[in-house]
Amino acid sequence: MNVDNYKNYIKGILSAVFAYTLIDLFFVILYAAVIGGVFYLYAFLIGDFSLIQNKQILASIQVFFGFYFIAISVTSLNAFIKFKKNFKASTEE
Amino acid sequence: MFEHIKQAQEREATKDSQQLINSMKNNDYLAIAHHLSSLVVAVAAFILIATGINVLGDSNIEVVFGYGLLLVACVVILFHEFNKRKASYIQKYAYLIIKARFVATKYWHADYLAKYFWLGFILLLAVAVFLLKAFITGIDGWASPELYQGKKHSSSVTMVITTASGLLAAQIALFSFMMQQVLSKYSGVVAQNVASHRSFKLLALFPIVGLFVPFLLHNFGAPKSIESLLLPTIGFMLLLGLLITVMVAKTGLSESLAIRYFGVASALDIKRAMPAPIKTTSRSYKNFWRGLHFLGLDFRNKDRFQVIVAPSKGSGVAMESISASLGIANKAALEGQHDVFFSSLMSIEIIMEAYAEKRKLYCSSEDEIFTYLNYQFAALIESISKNPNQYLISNLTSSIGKIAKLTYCIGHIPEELIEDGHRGNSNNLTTALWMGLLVQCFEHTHKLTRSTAAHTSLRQMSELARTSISHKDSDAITLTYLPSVKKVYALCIPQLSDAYHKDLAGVCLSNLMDDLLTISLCRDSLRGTHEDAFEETLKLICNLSKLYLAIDAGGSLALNDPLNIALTKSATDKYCMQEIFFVVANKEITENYSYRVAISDLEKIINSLHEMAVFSIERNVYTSSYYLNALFEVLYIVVRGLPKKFQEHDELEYQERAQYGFNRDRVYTEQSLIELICDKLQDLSSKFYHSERILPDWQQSVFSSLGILIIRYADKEEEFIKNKVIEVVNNYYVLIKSDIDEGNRFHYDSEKYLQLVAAWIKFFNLDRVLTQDIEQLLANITSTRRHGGVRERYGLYGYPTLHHRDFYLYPLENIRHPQIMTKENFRTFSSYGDRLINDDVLMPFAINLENMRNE
Repeated sequence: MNVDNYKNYIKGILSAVFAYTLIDLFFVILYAAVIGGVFYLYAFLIGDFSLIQNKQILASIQVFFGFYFIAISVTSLNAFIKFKKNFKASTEE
Repeated sequence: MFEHIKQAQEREATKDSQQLINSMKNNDYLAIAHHLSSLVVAVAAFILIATGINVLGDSNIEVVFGYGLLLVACVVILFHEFNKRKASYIQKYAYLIIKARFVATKYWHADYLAKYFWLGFILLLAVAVFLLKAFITGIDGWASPELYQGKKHSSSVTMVITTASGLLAAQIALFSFMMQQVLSKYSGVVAQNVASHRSFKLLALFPIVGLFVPFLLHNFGAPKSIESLLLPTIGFMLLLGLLITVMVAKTGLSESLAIRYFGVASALDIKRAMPAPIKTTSRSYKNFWRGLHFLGLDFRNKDRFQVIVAPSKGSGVAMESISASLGIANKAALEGQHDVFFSSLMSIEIIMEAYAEKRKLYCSSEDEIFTYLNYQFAALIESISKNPNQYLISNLTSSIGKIAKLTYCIGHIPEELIEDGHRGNSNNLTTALWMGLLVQCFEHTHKLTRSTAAHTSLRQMSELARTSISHKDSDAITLTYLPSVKKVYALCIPQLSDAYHKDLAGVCLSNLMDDLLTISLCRDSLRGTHEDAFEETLKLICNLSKLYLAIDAGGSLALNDPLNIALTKSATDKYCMQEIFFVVANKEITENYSYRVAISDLEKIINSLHEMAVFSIERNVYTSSYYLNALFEVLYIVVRGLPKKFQEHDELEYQERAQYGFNRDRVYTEQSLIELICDKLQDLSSKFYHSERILPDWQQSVFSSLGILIIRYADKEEEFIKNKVIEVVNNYYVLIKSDIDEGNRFHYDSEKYLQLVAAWIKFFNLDRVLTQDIEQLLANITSTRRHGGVRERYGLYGYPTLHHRDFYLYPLENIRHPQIMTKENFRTFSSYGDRLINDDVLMPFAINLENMRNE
């Protein structure tokens, strides 16, 4: 792999794989904030703050993040494999 | 001229920027779809996870159920995350969002008071929920009515009653004023319709509640839990109700919105009055309704068993609503109320859309509503065309066009009545009447100088024609549309000296070109009992172009003359003959019929180009060479290869003929088309050679054609191509030779082009004798004519030059659409030029010629 190819490879990974991964992570945090905010508002409206301090809710949030990290990892890995395959095919041409 | 080019560029730039904006809007929708779908999935997954964790317990069922929910949440997240990077997946959500937005917008625009109804409804609901919740959460016995009669609540009771009375008075005053001063001025029916809007009914409920509740409290008391809460809440609700009343009255003052709403309400009435006919063959009828009928419980309207004629009740409602709207339109036109006039037309359109939707469920071919409206509009056109506000008739024309397209609901045979799968001809007399109305619009408006109505009527005529094509109705084109265009064109032609009428004539031709493209796309499915729509349209384009050129052969600065319309791609949304040729050549060929039709159409296009070119040369039209350019582009499409389906059908046809003993040579479509184009080129080159007032570049297209034919011969060695090339070149050689023999001056640069083609023939070994003859001729004539002032590489050796460059193949300017010319096609075409214009091909011939001259 020469220098230009290497540059293109890095650029490709950053734009086609890593950028999406970052965006997905950002949005997962955002969703969690939105859902948490709505939940907090609900607890505030009904005046029952024990809902927020509930251990089960904490566990739910942890599982929620866990599932999303798994999903994002699998998707990013798949995108990386696809990109690598395409890149290889384009350089062989 | 530069102004026009600048304007054309600006128009194109506007289109480009519009496209860019549209793509940005689409991206916005995709982004919204991505965020919303992801958020919905995240919320759903969170709920599943939270429920799953909450359910998890000691028993087996709880464990299975809890982990099951967690698994589902995991799968949902994985599925969405995995798929959301695919455009098609997000596009589905984007489509849903666009559809929802469209429905919501349509709803808000249609019903201008709906938002106030929902506001009032939510307010009532919120009060009811609030009181109910308070009542349920604190049940604590019953408070006696004395509480409300005593000091504690008596002032509250008085206050609520006063507020409710005030609200009632305000409603009566405001709504009466609104109805009397604004709506009943135009039509009592409209006022009545608006008054029965649900927002008025709901608002009337507020003072009633405000009066009833204190009365009930005063006499019967209330539950203790809401005893002190009830009256302030009702009072607050009444105050908000007053606010909504004021807003409704303010919005209700808009006449145009009310009239539009009248259309929407009438449309709903029509839909209710015209239910779908009952199909006695359906399964639900056989099983369910027959059972009810047996028990004497089938009380449905018996008119619904009629499938031919629509229920008279529906027609009655439609007639009444249309009459009211027409009355408003007439009055508004007289008073010069443009917005009210426009709204009444919109109202009619909405009513007719609803009527047409139901009308197509019945197959009767006569319709009194469309006919009635047609007659009424005819009278309205007469009166409005004299109105000083010339924009009114543009709106009317536009509405006529939209309603005319709805006439295809008449005579529509329902699916269940078609037994052989053939729907039959969908034409009807009503459509012809509406086309006549559009012509009438044009007749009344083409002399108006401050109206776009003439252009609108032409556009609407063309759109109606395309609707006919989409309904596979060929007769509507041949019997109605084309004669109408002729009639309209005949009004423009005598006034061609006037730029406005020249433009209108150009628009007629331009529309015909668009229609020809649409016909060629739906060619095989068109049904008609009369002439062939494609052939007739093509013939009409040809005849109208000739008529134009016969009167004005000077061309048009706005590129709106027949040659530019039919042959040049001057805008992205305008289609030229070469593109139509491509469409016909690449259409889907499923059976022998479509194969034969395609060949016939391709030949017709070539013949029409030739016919128009001949006429154009006779009239000395300066830009006649455009036809040769078009023929070159058409030849290129054939020479590079037609779709394989043609070869397959050529072979099948040959085998079929052989089966019946007709053992002729195989003739492939490509061969027959190339031969036809070569014949036309040969004939035209003779005519162009002898013409005087034309662009000198015409030889470029002819010799480009010969060039690509020679390349094809070099690649495939097809004998017919060799023969045809030799025939055309020989003809050209004879033309020059006879001029020399007679002592005449030969055509400008003709000897240079002859030298060029002779070099190609010699290099690619087409015909030695012809080459020698040409060499002999050129050696004699160029001895007296040198190439002074020429500095191009091959120009120095006697080869032709174009715009200070050596000869190059005509650059296919009009078939650059990416679907016609892919990047690969461009590369191949460019390689044709490289193979024809290079030192190996041209220099030996030039050197040999120079030697012969020196000898």
